[in-house]
Amino acid sequence: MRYLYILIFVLMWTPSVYAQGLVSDLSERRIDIRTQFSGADLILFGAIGRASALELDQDFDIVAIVRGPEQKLVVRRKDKIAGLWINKDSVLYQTAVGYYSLAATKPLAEIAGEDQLAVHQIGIENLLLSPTLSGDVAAGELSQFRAGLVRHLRREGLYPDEVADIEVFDDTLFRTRIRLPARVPVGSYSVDIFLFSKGRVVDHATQMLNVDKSGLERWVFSFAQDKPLYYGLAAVVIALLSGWLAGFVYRKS
Amino acid sequence: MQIYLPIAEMSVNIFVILGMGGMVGFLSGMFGVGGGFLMTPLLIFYGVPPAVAVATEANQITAASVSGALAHFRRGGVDIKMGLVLVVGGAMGSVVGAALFTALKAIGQVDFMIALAYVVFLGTIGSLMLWESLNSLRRKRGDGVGSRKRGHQGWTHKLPFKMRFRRSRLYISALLPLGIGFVVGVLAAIMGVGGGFIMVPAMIYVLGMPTNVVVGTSLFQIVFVTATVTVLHSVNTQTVDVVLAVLLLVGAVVGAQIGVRVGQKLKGEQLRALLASMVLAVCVRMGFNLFLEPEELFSIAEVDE
Repeated sequence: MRYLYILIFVLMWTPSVYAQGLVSDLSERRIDIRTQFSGADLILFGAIGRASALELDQDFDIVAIVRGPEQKLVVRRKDKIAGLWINKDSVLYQTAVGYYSLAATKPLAEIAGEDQLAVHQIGIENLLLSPTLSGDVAAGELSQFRAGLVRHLRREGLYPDEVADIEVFDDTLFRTRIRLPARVPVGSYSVDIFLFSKGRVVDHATQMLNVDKSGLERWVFSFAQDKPLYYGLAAVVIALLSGWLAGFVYRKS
Repeated sequence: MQIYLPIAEMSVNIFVILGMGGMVGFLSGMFGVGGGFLMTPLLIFYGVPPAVAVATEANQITAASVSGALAHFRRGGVDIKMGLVLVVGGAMGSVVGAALFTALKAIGQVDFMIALAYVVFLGTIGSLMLWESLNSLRRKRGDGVGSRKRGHQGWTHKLPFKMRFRRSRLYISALLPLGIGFVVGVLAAIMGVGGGFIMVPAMIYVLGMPTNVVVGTSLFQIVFVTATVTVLHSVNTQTVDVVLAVLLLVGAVVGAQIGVRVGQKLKGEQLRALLASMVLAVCVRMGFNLFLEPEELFSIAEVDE
């Protein structure tokens, strides 16, 4: 695998470095969740044309955002009711992304101002999650629910806290590693690469990535979703057969 | 070695799952219980979503009970007629239970209900069992008179729809086994248990069935009711994880074999006291989540529309 990246790098070296603007690619465009899936590593790499680099006086930074599929997530808060802790108030987030991570060449604060980062939804605090309040939740409490949501996803490794490093080689090539944890939701992911100079975005590129169940996992999952009755009956038959078989083995031994 | 569970959508250590199956299998072999009441909480503590744990466990119990049911059947230890009446009640109960489960899942209260059901039922049954076994241990030391009246209270005779159950040598109202079956069906659907821990005492004390057909008939009912529950949860909430169920079963089969042997070396009263303490331990552990302020007040769930 590693050699493949080196090869890609060498290939990129020749013509594209002289091209204008931002060029990028991912080491993989499709992540298959199979039986032994325990997360995936992929590489985002690219280059900015040498002409562009010169034009910017070598004063540029790169920020990459990886965003998972948008999901509708409901965040519930437990409350003490008659001595028992029960889910009570809730907030619905219409566009909660299932995964969010960042990579940058420098600490974000040194790259651009708050407002620029907010415009491009860089940083978890700048994510637009489209909350809908329900029940007795006051608008002022919204930040608690949001913090609860982020805490949860962070614990699952889906909203990693730290900003990954983007390495820059030869003044024009860049590379970073994206780590997807075992709990990643399936769906389509986007990787946004921003070229910053003097606190402003001067170029932008997007790469798409697909995470999907594959093989047996996909088959079982779609069977359960598409033909739930047959799936349930099949589950019962499997249970009866294996239970009977187990009993048979028992008596033999 | 990690293995990805397609329905639970999580990656688990295969040896942890096999070990859990083995441990619960060992205990169920030793005590002669299904073990659902231990397995479901264990899965939840391990991080399996409660809804998936309950539905998958129902599927696993079908497998765990079928060979026992067949063995009892061959020995003539199943009252088929009684079993069928219990199954009818159980089927109705599981439909109600599964509907309740689906409705509560939609409003985010299913985890609460599972915990509450565990605390209430395990607390009651565990206390009763402990009390009974401590009493009989004490009596053993004394005069040794363990008089257990086999029979039923007066009011049960006044119920209509009398039916004759030849193998159990009973002439009782069909409403009684229907009702017991119903309760067990509801519990199977919402707790992921077979319900033997409630059905066996009910058969002995409420119906007055002779002990030689109790276990076989109870297993017979459990196979059918957990099978119904599996299908219902598959259709309603798609929460049955076949891969997880098979892994648990493999561990349970091996564990049960060892458990049976160990169990034969222990005395009945000791076994029951041990089982009662375990039931109570699970009840207390589940109760923590209800009565103590949780570290994390917020929980998230996906909404599908």
